[in-house]
Amino acid sequence: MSDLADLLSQLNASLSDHIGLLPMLLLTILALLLLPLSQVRSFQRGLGVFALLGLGVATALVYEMFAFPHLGFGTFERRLDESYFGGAMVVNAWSLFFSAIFLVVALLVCLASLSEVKRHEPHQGEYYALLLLATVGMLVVASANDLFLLFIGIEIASVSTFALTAWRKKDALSSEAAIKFFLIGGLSAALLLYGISWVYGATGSVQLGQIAAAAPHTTHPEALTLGALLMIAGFGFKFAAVPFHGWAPDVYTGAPTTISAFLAAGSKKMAVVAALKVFVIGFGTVAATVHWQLIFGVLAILTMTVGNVVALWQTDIKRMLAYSSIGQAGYILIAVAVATPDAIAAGLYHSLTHALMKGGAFLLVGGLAAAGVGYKIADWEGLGRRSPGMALAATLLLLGLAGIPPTGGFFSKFFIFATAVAAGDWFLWLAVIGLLNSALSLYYYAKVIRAIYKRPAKAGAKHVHVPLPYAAAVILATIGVLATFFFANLGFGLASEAAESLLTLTSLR
Amino acid sequence: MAVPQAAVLGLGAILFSLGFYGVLTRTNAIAILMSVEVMLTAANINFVAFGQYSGDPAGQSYALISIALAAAEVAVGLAILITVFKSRGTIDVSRINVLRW
Repeated sequence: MSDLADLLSQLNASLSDHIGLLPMLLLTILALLLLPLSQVRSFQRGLGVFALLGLGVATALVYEMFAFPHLGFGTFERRLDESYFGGAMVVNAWSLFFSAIFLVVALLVCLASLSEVKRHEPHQGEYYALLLLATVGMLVVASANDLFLLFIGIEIASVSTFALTAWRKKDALSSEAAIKFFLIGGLSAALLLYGISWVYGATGSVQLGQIAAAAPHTTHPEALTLGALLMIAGFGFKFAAVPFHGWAPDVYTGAPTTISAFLAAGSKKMAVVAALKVFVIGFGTVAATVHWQLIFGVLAILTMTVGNVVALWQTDIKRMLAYSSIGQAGYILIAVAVATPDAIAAGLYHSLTHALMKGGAFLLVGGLAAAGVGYKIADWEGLGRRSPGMALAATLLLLGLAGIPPTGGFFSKFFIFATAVAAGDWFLWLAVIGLLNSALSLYYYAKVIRAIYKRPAKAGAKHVHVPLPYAAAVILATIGVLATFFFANLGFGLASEAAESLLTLTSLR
Repeated sequence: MAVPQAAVLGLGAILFSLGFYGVLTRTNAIAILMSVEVMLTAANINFVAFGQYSGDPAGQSYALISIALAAAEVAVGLAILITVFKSRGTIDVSRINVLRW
């Protein structure tokens, strides 16, 4: 009996020592619980709600930890900058900011899945379990402070999303998307790992702070440069940066729409976290010799321009959103290239607003598809009459993607360009090209809005009833997009805190 | 009798290049998968070599963990290949193109 009490008190002590890891732990346990639960025939409908509740609790935990009394945000005292496993994982404002983004995206996707995953479909337990595990992978990436742990987190998320993309086994498009996603994902993992191995060889460590300390004195700077190039290519694939973007439109089109939303809004931000962390911290001391800022600048220009130009003549909404996603990734890459604390904060804020806008837009497409509206832009004609609420949400989300007030997309894009201009030098050109791209992108977003409102509905077109879970997820995302506009001050304040806490990682050991 | 470090790293580089060449030129999905595995092996060899020559045992443990990760990835990948084969009757990626590549 006393043994049990001993064990419990030990467990309790070890839990309170690892409080920052609680969201990951919780989601992992729930994911493993979902598998046996899915065997209970009468519990099929409960699986999604169970996963949703778990994500809700995890979000609440992150909110509790993400406390900034001086910004009037959060409830308890701040619990920040805790490092675990000998500094391999650090839970601070940075990791919590991204954890919050990932969890919100997962919540919206899980909510919409209640309607996307039909009552009679097999393997529902696996679907929700994989969704939770993919989220765990992203949370690991958010708090990893170690190249190898970063790689493990990316792999957990990737392997789960490969399986999720192929979840509808009978659907030929879904499995085609999965095979492309898997092969490209495997290639990017190999590039990344080989790059990490060279960085390890050059600096003798995989921990970011130690890499930063050892990098300037390395006897093999060429090994360091090779490692950096390979890692940029590996991240480029995850990020869908041009010229590593070929897979993204196919995968986003073929995957179940909820999973497209998860990939575009969540999994892409994972590459942002990883790239910012590795290069700003690990390679921060050798920016002058490795030239990673220049490489990211070139990638940003290519990614913005190709993404926005190709989006112009897409007729399929999912494909258009996929290319717009590539274009938006280009804007975030500007922030990575500039890499001043302000620019990083702007990049973080755009990650947040883009996650809401793009997640909401994909879920809207999925909701309308569930209500019988097709995937072509022409199918959306007359939507203003057939479903005024969804038409309004679509308009706000698309305006947000174009960067027009009153949406958060306006401020986040503005912050990115403003910080690039403030940094001066050649970064100015990034802002100029970004602005030109924004103007260009307006055309294809406006084209959809025009189709929604200007053209009359076809004769005999009925009112559209979007299923409730989908509608709720879209409305929540739209509220988020508006909130990031009206509370931009608070949001940018949080992003700045997060960016600053990233920079303190250098001084950790 | 020690093998020079450059030789081990050279072996890794050769394997990596072979794997990369395979990914670019093969059209059979299983052959591409095998090429990716060869590239991962190159990374593992590097980890072991760097760990060994700098006297850091962590390098070998990284290689072990990455082998486990690669195994998990292959399990999921082969399952995906089977579903594709069932729905299409082929795993030749040049013929899997309903979605534009």
